[in-house]
Amino acid sequence: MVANGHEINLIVDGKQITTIPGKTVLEAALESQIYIPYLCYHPGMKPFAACRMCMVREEIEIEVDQDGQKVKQKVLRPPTASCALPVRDGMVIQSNSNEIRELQTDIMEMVIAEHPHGCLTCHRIDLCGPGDICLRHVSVNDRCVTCPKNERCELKDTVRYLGMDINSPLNYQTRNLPVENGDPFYDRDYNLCIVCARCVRVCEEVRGDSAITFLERAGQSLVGTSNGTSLMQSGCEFCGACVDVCPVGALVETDNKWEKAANVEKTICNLCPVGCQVNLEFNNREKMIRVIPELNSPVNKGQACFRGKFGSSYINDKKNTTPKINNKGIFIDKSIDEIIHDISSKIPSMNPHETAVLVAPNISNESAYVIQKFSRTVLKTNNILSDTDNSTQSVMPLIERLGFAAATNSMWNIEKSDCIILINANITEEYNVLGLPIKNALRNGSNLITIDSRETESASIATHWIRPNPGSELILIQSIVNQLLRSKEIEPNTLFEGVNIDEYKNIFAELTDDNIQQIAGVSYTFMNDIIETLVSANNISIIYSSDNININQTDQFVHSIIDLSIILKNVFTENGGLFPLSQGSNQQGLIDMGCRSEVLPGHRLITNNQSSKDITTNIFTYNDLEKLIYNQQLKNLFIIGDIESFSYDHVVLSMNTTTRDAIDNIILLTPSPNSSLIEISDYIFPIKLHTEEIATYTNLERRIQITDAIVKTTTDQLSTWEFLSRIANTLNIDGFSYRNSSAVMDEISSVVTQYENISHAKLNASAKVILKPEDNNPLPTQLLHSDKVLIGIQWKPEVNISEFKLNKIPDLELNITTPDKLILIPGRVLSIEGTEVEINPITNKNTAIYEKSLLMSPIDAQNLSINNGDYVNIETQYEISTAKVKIDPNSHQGFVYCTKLFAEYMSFLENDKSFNPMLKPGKLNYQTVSITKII
Amino acid sequence: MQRFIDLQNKANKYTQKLSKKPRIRIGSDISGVAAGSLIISDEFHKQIALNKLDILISHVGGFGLSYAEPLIDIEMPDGSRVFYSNVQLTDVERIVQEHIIQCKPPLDIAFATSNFTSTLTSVPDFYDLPVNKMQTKILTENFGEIDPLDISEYISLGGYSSVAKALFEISPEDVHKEILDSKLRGRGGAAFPTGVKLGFLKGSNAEQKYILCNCEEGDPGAWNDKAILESDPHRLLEGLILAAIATNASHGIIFIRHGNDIPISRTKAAIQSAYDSNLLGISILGSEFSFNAEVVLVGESYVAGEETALMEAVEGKRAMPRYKPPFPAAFGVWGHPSNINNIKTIANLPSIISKGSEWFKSIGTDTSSGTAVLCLSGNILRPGLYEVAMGITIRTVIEDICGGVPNKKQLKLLQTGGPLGGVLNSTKLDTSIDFDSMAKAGAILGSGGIIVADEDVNVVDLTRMLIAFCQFESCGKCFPCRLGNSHLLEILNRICDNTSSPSDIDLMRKVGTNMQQGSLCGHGQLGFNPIKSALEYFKEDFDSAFENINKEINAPIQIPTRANRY
Repeated sequence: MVANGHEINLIVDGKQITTIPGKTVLEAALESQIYIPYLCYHPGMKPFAACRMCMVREEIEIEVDQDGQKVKQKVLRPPTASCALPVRDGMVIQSNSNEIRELQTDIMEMVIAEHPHGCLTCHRIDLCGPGDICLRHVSVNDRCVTCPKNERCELKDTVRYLGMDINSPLNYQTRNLPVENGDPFYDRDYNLCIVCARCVRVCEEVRGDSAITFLERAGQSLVGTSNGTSLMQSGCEFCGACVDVCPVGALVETDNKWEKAANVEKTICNLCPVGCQVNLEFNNREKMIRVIPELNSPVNKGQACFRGKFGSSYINDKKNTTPKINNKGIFIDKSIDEIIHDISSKIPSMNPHETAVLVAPNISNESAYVIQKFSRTVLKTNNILSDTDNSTQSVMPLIERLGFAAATNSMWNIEKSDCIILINANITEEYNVLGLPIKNALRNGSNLITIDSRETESASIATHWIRPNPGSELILIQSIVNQLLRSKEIEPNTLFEGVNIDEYKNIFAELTDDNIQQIAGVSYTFMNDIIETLVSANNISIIYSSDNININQTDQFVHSIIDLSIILKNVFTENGGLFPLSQGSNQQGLIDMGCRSEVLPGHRLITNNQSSKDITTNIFTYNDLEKLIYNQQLKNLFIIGDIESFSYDHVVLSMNTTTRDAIDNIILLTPSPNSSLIEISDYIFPIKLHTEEIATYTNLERRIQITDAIVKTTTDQLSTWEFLSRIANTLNIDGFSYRNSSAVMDEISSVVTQYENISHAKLNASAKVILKPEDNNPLPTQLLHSDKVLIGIQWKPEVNISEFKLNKIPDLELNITTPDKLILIPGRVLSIEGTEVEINPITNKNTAIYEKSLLMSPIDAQNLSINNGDYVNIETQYEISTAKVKIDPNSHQGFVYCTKLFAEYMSFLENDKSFNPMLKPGKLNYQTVSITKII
Repeated sequence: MQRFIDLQNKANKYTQKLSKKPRIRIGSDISGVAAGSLIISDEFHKQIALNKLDILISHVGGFGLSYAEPLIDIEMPDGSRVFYSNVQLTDVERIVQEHIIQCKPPLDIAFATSNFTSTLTSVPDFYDLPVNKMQTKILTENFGEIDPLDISEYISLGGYSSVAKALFEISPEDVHKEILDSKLRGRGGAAFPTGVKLGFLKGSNAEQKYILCNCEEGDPGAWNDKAILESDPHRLLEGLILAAIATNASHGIIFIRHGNDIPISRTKAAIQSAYDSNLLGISILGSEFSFNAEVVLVGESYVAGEETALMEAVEGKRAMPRYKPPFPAAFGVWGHPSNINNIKTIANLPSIISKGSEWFKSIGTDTSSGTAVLCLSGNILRPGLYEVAMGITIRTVIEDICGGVPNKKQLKLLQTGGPLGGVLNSTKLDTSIDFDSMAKAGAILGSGGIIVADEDVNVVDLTRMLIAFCQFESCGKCFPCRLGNSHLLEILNRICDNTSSPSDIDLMRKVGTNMQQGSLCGHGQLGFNPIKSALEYFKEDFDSAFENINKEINAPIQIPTRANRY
């Protein structure tokens, strides 16, 4: 444990331990397996020093006068909380003396005098088994055995560790409060709260939300919502961080509340590109009951989000699915061999030009590699598509410009940026944990410039929110580039060599301040403010996604962002960087594996590679797919993965009978037992989920992480790579004889330069064993789940600086088309003022009641003869909602804006009964709406 | 320096003009207002308007003689002053008629006089009253004499001259050295040497440094902090600027508990006039030194008076103490180096700088130099605010200044230094009022409040009230204080209810010891003091409580604790 060249030695309870500067005594002791009881401390948070359980005494030497002579004497300093005591070299600490024990027991006696603990005083405690019914020993409200946190309660662990004899003369009083269980996902029972404030602190300090807070004071102080009485009113993002840190049963997940974990397994969350490491708890019937984010993970640092924490139960829903074929609407179960035989027999007659492979962007690297190899060598087609919209197109231009298509830096570097530009990305909902470094930076005084027409949470917390007129994002970014070039602070010679600034300026000559104000709707002064902020920043991170960008403009949009990045020079700095965001947990891996039409493994653009003459080499886009289907030219379609979750209006989902019947074979490989695609497919094969196979995934910061097969599957299921390999083998095609997924990875590492030297063995070795409690040393429950630290391996982007130049031909598109119909620009924020809560009498759940306001331009209002303050119905394809009109002169004609409450979305997701509702990104897409006035 | 001389000249000219008119000073500090001085003032205005008189009415702070409020004094242009105490509405007309119009002061209702040439001896000289004569006034010298809102009056009495001295005549080093040499100790309770404390902040090279002045003052029976703000806010500002010069601090924050409207408005007005005279702001008096000051209000929380809790409160957070280290000198308000001092400490600085540390040390005892501003209340004849030199005994203060316990009752108990200070019995009356002797006697000087109780007071009940205060005012952060205080109050409720048992004494000791050792800040660490000292000096009251166990009594008022939540 040597850091910065020096280490610190101290003695705790007579045992010499070594640590690094900056640690506290408690941390140092815990690391060295010396347990000091604690309740309010929690790893990853600042000390709070409130519970006073971790009291220690420091032994110091002082000089005293003894008979006129100075004599050194050892004395003990008064007890102090070790969680807030920084380590010093040579410290001598006493943590287990009788006096300290007495102090701890006395505090604990007071704590449990207001915490139900009847079972602890029961003489039958050791006899009481999980199935026993307690008749008369302990009253119902005081039982530990009826507490959801029983046996994973840190309070109970600590009481037992202290060996307390519980017959305190203190008056025992419970609070008799109703349990708050009306909010989505988790319940709050403040009768069990010990007011350690871990939840309050994690919400403020780590999540930056402050949705929960202290109420009252003194003996009455307790935790509650910071606004209203429901989490729906208080700006909660339902990340579950408070639930994870609660040492007692006060905060628990609603689902499987009383289930006890029999087994804990580590895996990677597969619901978004962040790739959080999580621990899954399974009960003794092998049902996944709970998700606990991994505290020591370098990716998520103990955090998760509403998706990962509360949306992983789909892992349980995939049982007893078998391969099937669809015989004119009648599904016939088949064995694996039969279905492989059936499909193999069809392949030789497939025309490569009439064949397409659709891949869901959450498939593993191994499968993705084999998919592209299968389609290129077996199907002889390059028609591989992993997008459901333009999201990956926002990454691809990076190959041309940077040499690789990926983020340039690690995501936690964003924390140290002093300016963050966030473009059209809904961080809170789609890449939640990525929001943490952003919020941390913001709290440290950094600027957050959010460019988005939608009012997202990232927009509402931004220091500068630029709300361009929808469709003008490209022009806005180009004009920022233009203004930066003109601003005196940017010296041309500090830019990269070989860039002709004058040429560049000429291209932008058309972009005057006036037409920017007119087109983008951003005022000149605000623009100047932004430019000033950018010029004065040292480390700038640019995070972008292409949500709602016109598919024809996406390429230019990304090129302009790269231009911006070149001028701001943020890609070669340590704490800056360029972060493209796309959909799906492994889109990065799919690009790396070449699981796209335009790129071969290792980011080799297919146009540069002329060796594969025998396959179709045209670039295949979503538009091409649409065209093929509508023109009835598509004959064979491979659908791999749960693609329907990524798009509500995917062309495949909206095929009519004619277009469907034009396709000869639809081969569906899906993990979902109730996919709506099953109905239209000819061959249905159940593939394994990420928890069921050994596979690797690459997250948005290029970190390759390995998952284990932690859930058993029926013998009728295979991994995608395995299934496709067996088809290839049946057809006697070489190159598909993989023994296991590790062998696939070995081939990947030899083909994909970025993955050089990476193997499953190496990835597994990056996991090291840390603290594991022994029976006689009851380390706290929270650490029970951390038996391994999985680091993963980030592949290193190698940037060729000389190739990194300003975009040569920016294609200006000054005219944005004004649509005929009204376009709704949706928004969603964590809290809306004036939100009230009503209890739904049927579900007993809270429902948020608030007045939506609809921003509308004066011209549109006049056309529809709507006045300010009128109520209107907003009718979309899916729903009708009511809102109050607010006429806003800044709104662009043809667009209406409506912001909704995040918690409402949470209630919706909680009630969504589809296979994996949390996989759906719930994109805030522009929609065509009709507005009718309510009379 | 020239700018300051100009200021002084302007101020002198102004006050000379004022002294040419008769002047009525109406005590309008909190005890004056409570006694109705504002109604009296309205009546004076009415009478003066009625008689079309050209007279100046000043709302001064107060002399601290709470028992005499509403106390008004009328100064004629010849310098003679007559004081009227406990003025009734009906007295006003007569005073105006006889004193001002007829120039024949109604001496039969007069309280005292000053510079009065009449030979009538029945009315004593104001400054020779025992309550005034035995005081040593440093902080309170202007109390009752000047209009607190008028910066010119303060300047004409020598105010802000030490700022000019510190800026132009001596170096910041000298200012600090003078404070160090004066052996001034913090008046907030901990009695830490102020010079040393300022030295911590001085050592920091940060650009933004804060001097914080704590006027939170939540102790029942103490109003001396508020009194300074009410009667002489410029003295505090001057002290604050001096502390800033000594430490090169850039910002000053004065915390006042919200709801104390008179101190808040007067301090804000004082700050504004100091800005207007360039005594605050950029380049003070033309020097290179800049300093900004503001008033920050804190919510109703006793613990907000704890230095780190105050900083949390300033940052807009719940007033809960921080753990230390880091200490405020390194990581204070908003993470900037900060130094926090009690208002009485800061208000001592102007005199120290202008008169020197030797002069200051000559007052008080060796280890406790200077004066103590005491607030006396309870069963005494003359409750009020008195400033005495350190070293004087409690007996002198109570018997000579305050006139002892009325109604021929015996003094039973003293409650010093706020609720956390605990109680003393009459055997401790000869304790000298200085930090060390008080600590030795088992009490603290603390905020300077002394509450006297006579023999009729039941100590168990009083202790219950003190613990109820401590319980209610706990911030709820650290477990021993949050829970311990509640348990202590529950036990005391039981004792008062006659439903306890003698073993509860041991239980209280156990809980109390735990609080003392385990708590995060002084509130919990000292929270057991009231019971501990009551048990030490008045064990018999507790014993007699146990004699009545299970007997029906008049149920005492219930004080809510943990379970009675909303």
